[in-house]
Formats: sequence, structure tokens, C-alpha cells
Amino acid sequence: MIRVFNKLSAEKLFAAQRSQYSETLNMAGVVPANAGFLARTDVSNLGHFLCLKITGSFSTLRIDPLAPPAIIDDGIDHLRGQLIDGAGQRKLFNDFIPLSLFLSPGRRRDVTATNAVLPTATAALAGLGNSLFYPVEFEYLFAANSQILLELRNDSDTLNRFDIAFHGVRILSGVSVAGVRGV
Amino acid sequence: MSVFDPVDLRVVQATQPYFVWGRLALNVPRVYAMYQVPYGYNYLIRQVISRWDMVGFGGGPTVTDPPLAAEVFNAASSRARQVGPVPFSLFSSPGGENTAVPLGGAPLGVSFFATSRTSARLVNIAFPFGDTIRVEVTGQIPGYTVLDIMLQGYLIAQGNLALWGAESPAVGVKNADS
Repeated sequence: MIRVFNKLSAEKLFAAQRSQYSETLNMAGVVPANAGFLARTDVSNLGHFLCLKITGSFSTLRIDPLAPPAIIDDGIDHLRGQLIDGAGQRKLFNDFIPLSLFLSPGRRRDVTATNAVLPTATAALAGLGNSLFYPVEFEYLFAANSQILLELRNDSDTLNRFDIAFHGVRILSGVSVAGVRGV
Repeated sequence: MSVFDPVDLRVVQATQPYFVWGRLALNVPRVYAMYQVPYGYNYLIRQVISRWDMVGFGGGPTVTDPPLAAEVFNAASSRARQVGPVPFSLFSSPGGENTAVPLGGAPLGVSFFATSRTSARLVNIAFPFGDTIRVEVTGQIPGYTVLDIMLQGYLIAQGNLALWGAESPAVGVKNADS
């Protein structure tokens, strides 16, 4: 463990970085209204990726029932997701889980909503997104050349957007890339 | 762990995070959430994250601290994992960060943004569950109907099973992979 009181050695740190370094993989997309969507991120052939934390945000939009096609932000979580390890299609959730339960900071205020600036007859002024940040622990090794898959469902009558970041460590060792599956 | 600590692949590939979610209707004073653990695994709970319906009667006030209590059991043996039910606010991290769960949509003129505290509580129930997990929730909030509970944790393979290449006592031979 690196501590601020430890004597830092650039030589040792560079040596360590030759085999592993901190990396964040991003996944973003738009889920169409009343539909499903398969989002994917390539782990790439650089090496295995040890995910440590997940963070993310998403919109909470729907059509204004009194004044369509205007879009309002009603603050209700319309997106659900099932996370899958693309190597072997291993499901990492038991079900399609609402995004607000496993993503931080979570809901964000979307500028495309008509109530983002002023309240409407249908909806109060959209509140700010959450500003506190609690990355959710998710320690899992994704193999090189595999994909991280997130199957999403949107129960809103308009599209919703999401952004997710997987924070972790890229492991570059040629030995490890030789195949963690079946070791 | 620091990024400079060498990663031991044999160790990290042995764990698998597994999030399980259930939705409860708070229509009676005692409700149960059942979470099945896949065969061949134990389950270690790290954190419990929940959120609840933010809509009161007629779009009434939101509730930040619901008068509920929760207790965790092994379902088959009815073995309690706690001395007794604990207040919900001490049991779970409010996870609905600026989101709500009204199933019928927001009433006209109202938008719902959760006022629950944003916080993280590590529960770390260190004894793993090899059995279906039962969460008993007692109490009710008039007009509030839905409670989401998600368990954040890890599946741990039961290494003594032949399923995972261990020696099979029935046959008396070792699996070729072990």
C-alpha cells in the first residue's frame, strides 16, 4: 500500500506501471422509449481489467402528458439494467436492477427537459442532480479481449441517457494475457 | 489496495460480485423479501441499498426515515443473522439518489426527487449465506406502497463440491482439473 509517508521511488513506480496501471472504462448510450438496448464496452487486448468500483449517472425523462411532445424530468427512475460479463455470458445481477440502486452520483438533471429551467403545469422545477459521490464496490476480473455488457430496459415514453464508468486496474503481463480462463 | 500492489490473478478471479434486487409491496405490517443463492455458492453481503416509494396520499410529503425495521434470516433454517430487527435507517443505505419509485408516474404538477440522505453503510455480514436469504421488514408507512432492497455482495464458490473440481467422496477419484 502506498502511503504519503513512504519514501516514493520513481524507479519502482515506473517498474510497477510497466505491468499494471489505473484505468477507467466508459460506457454511455441512449435507450429508446419503451425499448431495450444492449450497451457494450471492449476490454481490448491490452490485458485483463480488474474492476474495483462503478460510478454512473442517468436521466429521468418522460413525455409531458398534458403537452406532448414536450419532455419533462419527473425524477422517476425509468431505466433498469442487467450487467453481464461478455466472456461466457455470466450474469452479474440477478435481475434488471433500477440504475439508481447501483450507480452514484445517480440521477442527473437533463437540459432537454422543459422543466429544467421553469416549472410547468405538469411538473415542478426539476431538482439538481445529486452532488455526493459514493462509488459502489464491484471487484471483478474481466478477461482481455472480452466485453462488458449492460442490457438496459427503458419504461419511459421517451428516450433516456446514461453514462457509466468502471474504475480499476489494467494488468499488462504477457503471462496473464495468455489466458485466465481455464487456468 | 493500491494500483501499485501486484495483482494476483489466482486470487481475484475467484470472486464474483453479484447484486440481487427485490421489490416489496408494503401492504401488510410484515413483509418478506427472498433472495436465492445460486447452487454451488455462498453469498457474502457487503452492503444493503434500498429506496422506497416517495409518493404519499395525494402526492403528499416524502419520507426520509421510514418507520420500518429489518432482520436477515437463512430461510430454510430460519436462522437469524441479527439479535433482532433493527431500524431500517441503520440497516440500509438509502440508495435512491434523487430518484423516486412511484409506479403510476408522478401526479400532475409534481416531480419527485428523493430527499433521502445520501450515505453509504457497510453492513459486512461476514457469515456467508449458503441458503436462500430472507429479509423480514416490519412496519408500514401509510400510503407508501413499495420498497426496493438490493443486496450488494459476492458469490463465493463452495470449493468442497465436486462441481468445482474437488475430490468426490462418492467416487473416490480426483477431478482431472484439480
